[in-house]
Amino acid sequence: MQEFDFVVPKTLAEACQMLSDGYGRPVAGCTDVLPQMRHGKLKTERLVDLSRIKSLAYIEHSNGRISIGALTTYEQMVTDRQLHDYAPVLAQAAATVGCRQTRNRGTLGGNLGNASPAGDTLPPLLILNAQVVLAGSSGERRMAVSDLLLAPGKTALLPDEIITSVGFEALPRGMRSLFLKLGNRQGMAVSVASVALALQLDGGGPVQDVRIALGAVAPTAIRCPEAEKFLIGQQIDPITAGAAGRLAAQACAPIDDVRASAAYRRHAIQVLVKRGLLSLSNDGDSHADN
Amino acid sequence: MPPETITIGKSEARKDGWTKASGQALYVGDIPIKHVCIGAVLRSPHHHARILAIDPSPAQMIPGVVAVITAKDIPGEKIHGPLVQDQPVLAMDIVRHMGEPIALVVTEDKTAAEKALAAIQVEYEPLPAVFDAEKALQPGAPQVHPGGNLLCEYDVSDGDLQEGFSQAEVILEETFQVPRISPAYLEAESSLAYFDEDGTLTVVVSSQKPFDDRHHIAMTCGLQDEQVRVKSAVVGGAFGGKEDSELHILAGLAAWITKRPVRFLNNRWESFLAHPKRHPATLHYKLGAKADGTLIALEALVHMDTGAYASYGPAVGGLLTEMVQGAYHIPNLRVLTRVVYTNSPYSGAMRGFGSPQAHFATESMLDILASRLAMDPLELRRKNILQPEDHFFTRVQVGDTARSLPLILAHADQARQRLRQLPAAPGKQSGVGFALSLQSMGLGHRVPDDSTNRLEWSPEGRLIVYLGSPELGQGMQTAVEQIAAETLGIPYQIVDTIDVDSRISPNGGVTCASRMTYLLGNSVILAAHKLTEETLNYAARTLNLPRAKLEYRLGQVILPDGRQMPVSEFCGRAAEDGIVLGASATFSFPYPAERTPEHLPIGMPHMMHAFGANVVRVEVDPELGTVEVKDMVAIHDVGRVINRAGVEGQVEGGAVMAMGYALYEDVCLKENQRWVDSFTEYLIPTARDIPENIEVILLELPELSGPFGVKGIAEMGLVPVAPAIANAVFEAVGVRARELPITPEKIALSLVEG
Repeated sequence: MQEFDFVVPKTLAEACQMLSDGYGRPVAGCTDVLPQMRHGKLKTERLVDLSRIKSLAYIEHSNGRISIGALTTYEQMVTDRQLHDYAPVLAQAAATVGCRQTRNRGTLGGNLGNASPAGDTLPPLLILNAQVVLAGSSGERRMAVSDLLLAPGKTALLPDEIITSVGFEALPRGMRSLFLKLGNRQGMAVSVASVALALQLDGGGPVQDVRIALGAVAPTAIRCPEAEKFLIGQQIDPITAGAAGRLAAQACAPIDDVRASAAYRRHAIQVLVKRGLLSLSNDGDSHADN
Repeated sequence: MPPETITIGKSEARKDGWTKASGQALYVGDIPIKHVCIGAVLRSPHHHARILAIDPSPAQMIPGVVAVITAKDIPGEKIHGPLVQDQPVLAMDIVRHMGEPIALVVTEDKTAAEKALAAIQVEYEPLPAVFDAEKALQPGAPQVHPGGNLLCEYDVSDGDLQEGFSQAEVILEETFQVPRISPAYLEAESSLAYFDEDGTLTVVVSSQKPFDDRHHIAMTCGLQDEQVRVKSAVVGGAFGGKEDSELHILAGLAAWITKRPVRFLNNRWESFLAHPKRHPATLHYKLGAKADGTLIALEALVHMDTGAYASYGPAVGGLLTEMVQGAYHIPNLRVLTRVVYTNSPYSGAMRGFGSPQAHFATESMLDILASRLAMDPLELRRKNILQPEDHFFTRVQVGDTARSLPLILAHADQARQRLRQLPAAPGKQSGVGFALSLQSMGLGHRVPDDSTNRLEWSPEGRLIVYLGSPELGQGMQTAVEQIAAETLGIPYQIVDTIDVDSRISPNGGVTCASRMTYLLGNSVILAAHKLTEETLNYAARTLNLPRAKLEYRLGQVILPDGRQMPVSEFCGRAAEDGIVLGASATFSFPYPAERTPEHLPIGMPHMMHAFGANVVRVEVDPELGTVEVKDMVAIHDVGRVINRAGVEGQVEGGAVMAMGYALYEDVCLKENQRWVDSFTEYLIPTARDIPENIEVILLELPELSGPFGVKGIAEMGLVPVAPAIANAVFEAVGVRARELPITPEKIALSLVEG
């Protein structure tokens, strides 16, 4: 592994300053960055460790809005009660990341900054219409998660910017959500395909609102406006759910790699979307098994 | 029921359990040595290339670099290999696989090592490479070695194939493919070389065969074997993957040249690329049977990719050939096996040693036949199982061990009925499948196959066992201690084993081939009898009584008047007299002249066998193709249980390892022409993937030549699992997997395509 400096700022301002020359990379849990560096896939001269900035680890709820500090770990999201009430889909997704050890170290900010197409919290954040708050030497700005993610490993962050928090509106009452993940084994698997869904029915009848996002099947996690539009006003049944699944499969742009072929990923998306919709329309239970 | 015992059959606690669980055990990477240097290996980035020039000088200038070593610095033999001398210690003119060692750096710290590796200038001329055994044999294929790509070929047959197929009422032809897999032990290969207190080159190895390592190290350094000392460290798993000396040679060489202590610890990617794997193979079967299911003829053509170097490839090819027959009487049988060089990472020994490949094909084929004949797969097997009076196609008589087969089938039938009643989870489809297995013990005819071990009483009356072969984590020492304790009638708790150290240990050979409990146990029983005699002789001299008047029983010397004196009293006295009460004995694996066929190549046949079965219930997602193994029943004839927890652990561990073979693992070439070489892409089963309950049923049909009746169990637990899973998947969703691993994708896409 290459040599690098490891610097530990105590404040956000200090951290931005340490990144201002463009040669640093902010890290927290390092669960992705260090393996990538060891494999020579990532080179950087300086790691700026944010994990001492304790003020960035929190989950807050006020007036129907959730705000999650960037240093919040997956495990904290898994065990947070408010999240289970207001955005269960995100807690579900966090629970599928890696193993307990990685969930104890890895952070929400890291999942966003890493911008892997297979990042498990990203499809839930897309259907929550989440925004990130960025801090940089020239001040603070906000951006939709969908605008932050540009390509595999690429974000719209400026070199001296740090993700400080993620915010979103709690899901409306009566809107059910679900995260489904397919990996090549049960434990500690990287997603081959994943789906985040939220569904609101009009009094148990036609679809009033639906949100669908896909992971690991395009250069970034993506929303599926075609499938969403198609479903508005429809009754969810095997036929409509299957049709939505096919629209989602058309929307994705998967690749062939060692984990799965593009053809299988497309097939899996179609199955997962159909299954998720049927599951959400049948009962209120959110369950994460695939 | 077996007779009452002191310790045999009991789940005695392993003496290494606590130090391992609490992190105190010293693996090679943990051994404290002052001023130890880092050893690192420059490895080929090419699959096949000519080396035009190597310039180590830029690396030598880096601060902290002690030495850069290339082939021209080697004082002794520059080529090694356990069976075939074909592997350069360090590449000279050609590299034949990605990861092949080219140069060593010895440095004072890790940073200097990384800089030095990057600074060595190597000029390559890339050459075309071949990665497929069948393609490598075609005209015009890139040549891996000057003698051609066919390393060796076995053509073994019995009966009359043509006649057999002419009588067949149904003939099936199928091709099966099995992947290259990694032993994936927790501890990658590691080696530590230094000069001991009297200046002897000493190498501490994580290895299955320290004495052979010593020989290869000595040859490379231009020394006599006795000038090198090897010691066995605590070994973090081996599974056959630590029978190759490569890294130990490099460590010994680096220390010998620099006169400094040097430690080499392979990274995981180095372990993937530059240490042996299970052979990938293509197995083409043509099977003929009567309409009632009687097997009548089988012709198998097998191509094994042994990679760039032979390693144990020829021996694996031989055993694979023998194992194709499985547990069945097939009167007309021919197996043609070709072991082929390619530019893949080399393959060699791995738990099962050719048997898992053969069984995947044979046991899948049996189920395909059953399906074709609309027969119950279990009934088909019942009709064809070997009987004691039958002969294998190697012309070895099967013998009494075959009496286990009807019992195994009965247990399998019960397990199958019970598992078939379990409901599938909503949306899943359940299937129950099973497979039988055959596994041999020992190294095969005309291969030195013996073991020498030594017993001593300590001055305080504890029994010390000097084993000549290393413990690998499998619990061999515990089993041998129990056998020694039982034989001498003393408590297991007062028996201690000394790890292999060539200065004090006898040479007991390689720990491998499901033979250790059998071989070491027999040797230790012989030594125990000699030790008893030695003890009584000493007691007679000391007490001034005739030897014939004394007896030994349960750790006591019995005097003529019936009084008892504990052995410990004599041990103390002997120590004061400067006498060590000890005895060594050698046991050789029996290849009795009157029963051993002589018409086969070296290493064939194997004379001793055991049978087993695995029954699994899977749940398959019929849309996504995911397979979960929900229940497993393993049935094995072990001859006699020495340590119940130990045997169950071996069976469970083998079964889980085989789940990886069946469902996940494949060291394959990626689109970027690099190998899968990390655990992010190479998946092995996690705790969440394995069934909550693996039921282990142990049958005890004694092997009369074995200590207390023991048969080998180390490999058997793995062998039937992959075909059992494939057969279960077929029952669940009707998809026949002819290729491992059975990934969700393969199942889902074949269901979609119908």
